Amino acid sequence: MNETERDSQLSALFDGELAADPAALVTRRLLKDPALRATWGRYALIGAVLRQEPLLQPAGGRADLADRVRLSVLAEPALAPAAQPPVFAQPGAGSWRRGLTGAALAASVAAVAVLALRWQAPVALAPMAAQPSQFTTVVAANSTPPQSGSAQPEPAVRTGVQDVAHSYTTPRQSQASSARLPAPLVNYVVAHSEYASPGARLSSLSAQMSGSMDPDVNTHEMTKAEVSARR
Amino acid sequence: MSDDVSDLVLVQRVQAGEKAAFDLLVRKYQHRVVKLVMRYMRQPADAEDVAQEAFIKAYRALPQFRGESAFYTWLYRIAINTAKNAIVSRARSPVEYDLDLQNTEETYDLQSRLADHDTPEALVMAEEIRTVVNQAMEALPEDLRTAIVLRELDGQSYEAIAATMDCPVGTVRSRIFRAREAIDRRLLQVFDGGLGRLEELA
Repeated sequence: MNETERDSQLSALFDGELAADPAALVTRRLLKDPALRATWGRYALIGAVLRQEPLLQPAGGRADLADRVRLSVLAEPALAPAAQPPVFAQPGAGSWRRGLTGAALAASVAAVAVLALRWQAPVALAPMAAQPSQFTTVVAANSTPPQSGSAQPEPAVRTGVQDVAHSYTTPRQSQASSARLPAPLVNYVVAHSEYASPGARLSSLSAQMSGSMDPDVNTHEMTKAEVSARR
Repeated sequence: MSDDVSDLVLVQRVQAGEKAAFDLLVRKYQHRVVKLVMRYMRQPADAEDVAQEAFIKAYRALPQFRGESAFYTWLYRIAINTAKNAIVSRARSPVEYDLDLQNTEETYDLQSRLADHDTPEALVMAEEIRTVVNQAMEALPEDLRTAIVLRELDGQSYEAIAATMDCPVGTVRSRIFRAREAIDRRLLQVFDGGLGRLEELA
């Protein structure tokens, strides 16, 4: 690869327009090559000028922002790969045995829930089969025929079954992201808010995105993690 | 803006323990984050301090980042929260409440320019860089200038730019690269001998 092609790929990488494999390759080169890193920095500088962003520089005897962050990060412990818990892992889970135990526990809970449903709502299970939910289809397939004398009011029972289904399949939209915007829309709004006028920036969308968070590093990502942890 | 792939690659490197990858993310987004924080902070130096704190919080929180949103969206939220916390803890009011809102655009631009601060030399150099970049932009062929404006100012993806300019995506990629290369070359020519300072800015 000649220098021009290399820099062209760097430009595309900077814009997030390189496919995953070449992106990984160029990133490896970028991390090894100081000249490429300097070019990366100048691309950022050019964009900052075009967008009329503040140009950051060392002043008053202190290092510039990026250098201060770099020094602070150097003093931090490295993020080891083990520090990334799998989505459904429990804290401290590190072996396949624990994973197997968790799976067995989840299966037990599921079995108990199904049995409880059959005990509490035998009549209402047949109508549930008509609903386009994978979970409810499974429940209906495993259900026994309705028994007389144990019927509950249908709407109430159906609601109860749906609650159980949502409790260990996927969180209901309203539970998982109450009053939150879909991630693609949030990304779009954030990406374009910088091109809006200052007044427009203080829109209700921005307020909704930022206003529903806890003081520190409470993000949509973390909220999803919390939802997963609760499951 | 579709920064997801390259950002995610860098994030994964950081998560794997490679701190240098985080420096690239900082250098890519530091200007945007400071501009964002300056909506809340009165002093540019305070905005930089808050931005620094936000980046460090982001670094510490990266093990929890799973790529469900764009990295910058995630960073944006951290920066906003850090700025709000700083306002509360320092008992300061947001810039918007102190200034004449009848003239928001002008005051906002003033705030941005006040970030080029502290020393006359720094201010002069920042202005020189702006001048060089803008002159280099004006000297670009129309198709290159349009491509990089749609990318950097409008934040459009290559695909959207290709649709706008009625050309293949590969052509868009080439035009944006050639535009950057031309501006970069001009920067290096003008600041020849002062590259150390230019590198510090980048």
